[in-house]
Amino acid sequence: MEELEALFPAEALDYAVQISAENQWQFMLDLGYLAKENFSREEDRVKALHDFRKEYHEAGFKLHHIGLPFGLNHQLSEGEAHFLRKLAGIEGQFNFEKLPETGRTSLFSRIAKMRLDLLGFGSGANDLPFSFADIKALDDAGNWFSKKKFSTRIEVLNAMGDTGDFVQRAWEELYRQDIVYFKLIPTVQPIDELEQGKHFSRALWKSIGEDSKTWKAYKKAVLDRNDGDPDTKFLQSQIARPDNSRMIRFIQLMLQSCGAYTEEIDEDLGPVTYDALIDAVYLLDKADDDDDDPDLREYIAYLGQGYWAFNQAFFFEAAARLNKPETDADLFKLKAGVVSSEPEDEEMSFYKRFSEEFGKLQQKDKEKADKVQAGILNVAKKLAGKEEVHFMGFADSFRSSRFFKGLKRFFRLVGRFFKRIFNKLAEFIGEMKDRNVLNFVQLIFRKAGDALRVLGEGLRFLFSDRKIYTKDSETKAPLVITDFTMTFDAVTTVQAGLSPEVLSEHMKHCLRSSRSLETVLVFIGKVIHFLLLLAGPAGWFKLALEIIRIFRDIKKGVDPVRTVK
Amino acid sequence: MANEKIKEWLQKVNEGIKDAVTLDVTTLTGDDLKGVITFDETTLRFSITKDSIQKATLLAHTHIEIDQDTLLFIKSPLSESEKGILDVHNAAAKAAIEARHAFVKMIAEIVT
Repeated sequence: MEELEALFPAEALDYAVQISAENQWQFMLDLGYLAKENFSREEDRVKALHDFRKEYHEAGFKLHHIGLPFGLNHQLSEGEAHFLRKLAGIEGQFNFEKLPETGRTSLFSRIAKMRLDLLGFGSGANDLPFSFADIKALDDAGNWFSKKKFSTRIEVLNAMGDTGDFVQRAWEELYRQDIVYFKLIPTVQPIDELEQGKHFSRALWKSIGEDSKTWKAYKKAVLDRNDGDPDTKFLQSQIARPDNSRMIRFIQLMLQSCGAYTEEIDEDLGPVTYDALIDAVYLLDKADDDDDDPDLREYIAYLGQGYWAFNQAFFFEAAARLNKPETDADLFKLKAGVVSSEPEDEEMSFYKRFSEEFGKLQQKDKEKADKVQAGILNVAKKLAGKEEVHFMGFADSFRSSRFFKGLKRFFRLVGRFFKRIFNKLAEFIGEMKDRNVLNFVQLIFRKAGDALRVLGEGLRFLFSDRKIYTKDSETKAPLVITDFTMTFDAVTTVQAGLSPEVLSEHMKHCLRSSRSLETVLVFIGKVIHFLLLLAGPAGWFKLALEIIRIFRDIKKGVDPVRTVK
Repeated sequence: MANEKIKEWLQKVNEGIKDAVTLDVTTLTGDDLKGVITFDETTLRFSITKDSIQKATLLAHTHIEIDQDTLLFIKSPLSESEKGILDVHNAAAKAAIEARHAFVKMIAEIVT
C-alpha cells in the first residue's frame, strides 16, 4: 500500500467527484460485467472486476497509464470508475478508430454493444462476443437515417457515442411530425387540466402542420369523434408501433441525460417516466419563453379511457432552443434605449453573480480533472498510434458525473428563467407599450385568474355539503360518493363492479377538491386574522361567536360516521 | 338538573374535540346500495344508518390519531375489482389528510 502511495501522488488519489458506490459501478453494470441483481454479492463483484481488469490489459492499457491504481479485489477505485466513464460515457467522449473484433468479448466490444443497446438496436447482452448480428444492427441503425448522414459503420458507431446528439438528429430526420401515444391509468396525478383541449390541439397543429398525416389521423381519432371518446382501436395500434416505442426510448434517454429519470430505459411510459416527463416539461415551460405562454397543456393531453398523447415535437423543439449557445452579451442584451444596460442594475447583477459563481465551480473542477485527464489522453493516443482516439476537452469528469450533469442543466434552466424574468422587468420599465409587456401583464392576470378559480372551487366545496360524486355517464346516477364531514372525516360508497376509468375519475375529483381546499382555508385564515386585527379586543368575542355560528350553520345534516354507531 | 345539562354539554364538547383531532375514512361497497344512496332527477340523498348499510360491505377503514398513530382495516381477501376500490379509499384518505392539514394551517394562520 505504501508502495502504491509512493507511486501515485496523493492529489491524484484525492481526485474524483463525490459519487455514490452505485454510481461508481454504473458503467460496470452498463457494460455487462455485472448484472444489477448480483450487485450486492461480493463474489460477483470480484469476478466482474477481474474480468474488467483482464480486458483492460488485453486492450493494451498498462496500470501506470491511467495514473491511478486498481482498487482492491472487491472495490472499484476512483481511477477505474473515472476511466470507465471516459470510455463508456454517452456524451461523445470516446471515438472508435476501428470496429471491435468479431467473435471476442473485449472492453471495446462491450462499449459498442452498450451503445447499440442503449439506442434500441442491440440485444442487451453486452457480455457476449461482438458478432455479425451486431454489425447488422449497426447497418440497421445507419440505414435508419438517410444514407447521406453516415457512410461507414464506424461513423454510425461514433455518432451513437453522443446519445443526445444522436437522438436530436433522429428526431429531426424521422420524428419531427410524429406524436407519442401511451396508456396510463393515473393514480394520484390530477389530470383535469390536461384533458384534451384547445391548448394541446393548437400546439400540435403548430408543431406538426395541418397537412401532416399524423395531424389528420389525430384529428379523426380524437377531435372529430361525436361521442367524445377517442378511437381506442386507433390509439392501441399507434402504441403498438415500433417507432412509438423508440420515441419513448429517446424521451427516456433525454430525461436521463438531464437527470430527471434514473430508472431503466425500457420504452415503457409508465408512472415513473410520466413523473419525470412532467418535471422536465415543467422546467422547459418555465425556462423557454419563445412562445408567449408555454404551458403543460401544450405538451401533454389526456384523451380519455386511460390514453394519452405527448407532443414530442414541441418538447424537442423547446429543448433544442434551450441548447442553443448563448454568449454573455446575449444573456444581458437589452433592447437599445430600454434601460442603460447595466451590470449595476440590481436584478441583472444577481444573475451575473450567479453565473460567475457557477463558472468558478466549473473551473475548480476542471483543474482537478485536467491533471488526471492529461495522462489518460496521452496513453490512449499512444495505444492507438493515432490522434483520432480522443476525449473531448473540457472537464469531462465534471460532465460525466450524472449528478453534476443534472444539476448543471437544472441551474442553466433556472438561470435562463431568471434572465427572462429580468428582461421582462427591464422591458416593463422601458417600453410600457411593447407587446411583450402586454403579454407579461396578461400572463400575470391569467395566473391571478387561475388562483381565483382554485379559490372559488375551494369555497364552493367548503360551503356545500362536501359530497363528491361521480356519475354514470348514461343514467347520470351517482356510482361513487365520498362524503366529507366538516372535520373532513370521510365515507366513500362505491357501487360494485365499476370500471377503472370511473374509479380513476373519482380519485381525481377527491384530490382536486382537497388541494383547492388548502388554498381556500389559508385564504380564510388570513381574512379572519385580518378581521381580528381590525376588530380589536372588544370585537374579538363578538367576531368569534359569529364565526362559530357560521361554521355551525355549515355543519348541517347527519354526521355519517357517528350515525353508524 | 342544571348539572345534568352541563355534563351533557361537556360530553358534547368532548366528543367534538375528539372528532376534530382524529380522522376516520371509511369505504363501503356492494351490489345493492339503494338504501344508502337515493337519487332522482334533482336530488341526491345519502344516508348511512344501520339499516341502509345492511347490504353493503365494509371494504376499508382508516383511523388516524392526532399523534399519527394509524389503524387500518382492509377486508381480506380482496378481489381484483376491490383492489381498484382500495385505490379510491387511499385517495379519499389522502384527500382527507390534506384537507385536515389545511384546516390546521388555517387555525395557525388565525392565532399567530
